[in-house]
Amino acid sequence: MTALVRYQLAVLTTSQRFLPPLLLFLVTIAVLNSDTPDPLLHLYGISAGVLLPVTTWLTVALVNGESPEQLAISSVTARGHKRTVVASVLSALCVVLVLTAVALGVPLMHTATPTQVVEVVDGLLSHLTSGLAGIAAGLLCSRPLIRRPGTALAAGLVLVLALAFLRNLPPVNTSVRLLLTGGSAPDLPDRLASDAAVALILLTASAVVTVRVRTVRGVR
Amino acid sequence: MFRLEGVGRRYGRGRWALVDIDLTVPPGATVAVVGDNGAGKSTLLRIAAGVLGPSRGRVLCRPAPVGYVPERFPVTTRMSALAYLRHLGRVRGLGTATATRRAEELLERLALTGDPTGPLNALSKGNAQKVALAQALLISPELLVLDEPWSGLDAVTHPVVVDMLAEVRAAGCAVLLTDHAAGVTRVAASAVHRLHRGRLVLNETPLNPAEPVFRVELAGGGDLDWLSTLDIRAMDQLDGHLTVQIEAGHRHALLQAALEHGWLVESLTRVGGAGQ
Repeated sequence: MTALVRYQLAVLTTSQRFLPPLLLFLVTIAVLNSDTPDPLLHLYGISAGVLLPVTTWLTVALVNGESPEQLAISSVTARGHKRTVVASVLSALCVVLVLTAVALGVPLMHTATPTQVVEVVDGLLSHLTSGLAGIAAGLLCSRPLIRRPGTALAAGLVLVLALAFLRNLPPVNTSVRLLLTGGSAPDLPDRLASDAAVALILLTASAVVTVRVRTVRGVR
Repeated sequence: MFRLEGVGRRYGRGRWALVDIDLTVPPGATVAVVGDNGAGKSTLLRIAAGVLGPSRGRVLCRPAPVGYVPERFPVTTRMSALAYLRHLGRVRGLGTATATRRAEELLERLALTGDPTGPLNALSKGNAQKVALAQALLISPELLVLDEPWSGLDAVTHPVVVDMLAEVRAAGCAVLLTDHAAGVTRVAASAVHRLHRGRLVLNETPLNPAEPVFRVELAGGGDLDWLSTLDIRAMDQLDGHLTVQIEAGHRHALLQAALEHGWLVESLTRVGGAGQ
């Protein structure tokens, strides 16, 4: 599995398709931290929200980096579609973890007030929620589920906008809103953790659908 | 033994691309499937390799590891050929050094003319096809599935691939390949089947009911290269005995060539077509 993840990350990094979403994310972090510091949870809420479209985009870039024939070869080499899909999830998760580390770390270097560990944990949970949901949406928008780039873009936009802005729709909208407005509710980490769990369930469902479609419809 | 039982396949609600396919590929055997464009050859191979599931029927006892070479190998990635093979070698469980050495060996043997350290998507069609062949042979596969291995390869590479196939067969690998002409017999296939509109044309089911089909049983010869010039329907080889099916119009040419190459004609039977 490690070799498969390394291969997929190599496909992603040589494709240069990862650059636009990566730049979008880094610019967001830079802009957020350029001014007088906002409350930490507020910053984390915004960067977690932006992580959703960024992860969706990166996941599509990761999966569609291989041509259908290349994907067929990879699946045979890896002994099945299940393993290639799991590897795609793990590869995307590696990227999410790096971006999350940047998003959580940069504000800490700028803040003057002492930080509580629990705030960083809240931020981590919210970023993971966005990341997992973003991977789930990305899998559904890549080949072979959606073959045309235009359709994939439209579907991706609809999915991401719905997840981000439909009021009180778990997990991303609720998680981000908790950070932006929830403030100091005592059960905040618990509620964020349950949103992360919902995101994990979404991701599992999306991965199962992807494996099924690859087997039934083929990788084209 | 690796076999397909009653395999059918359709895409969505469209027509059936494959209907009731029964096919066995024993270890050490080469089974060739010939047929026109759109006959369902690629679909059959994808199912055999495990890339695609069948809509009906079962795939049984698929050996592992499997090597799969698609008909075309378009790549969008800018990774180099060597890096690509090294990565796939590691996915197969080889160490980095072994994978690199094996990749270099294979590319040299296949005479890759492009730059092995340059981007994959800059390689010509033929060179990309060589990389696709190389990845399937990084390890010694137990099942090798090749979709029209000769298309896109230059003539000087053909004997190299024939040798490579002979080597994996000698190691007990089951080989399943397609070709759109009977020229496939140049690799001395142990069985040749014709696929026509999704159906395997086997023994007693003639392609054109008006044209009689003859079954010719031969014995004694060795070299099968002479068969490649003939338009044969199906072929089965077992312990020096060769059974060939051929349309009536070609039977004299077959008999003549068989006699010239030292084969004994054991029988000539009409098995299908007009008058049955």
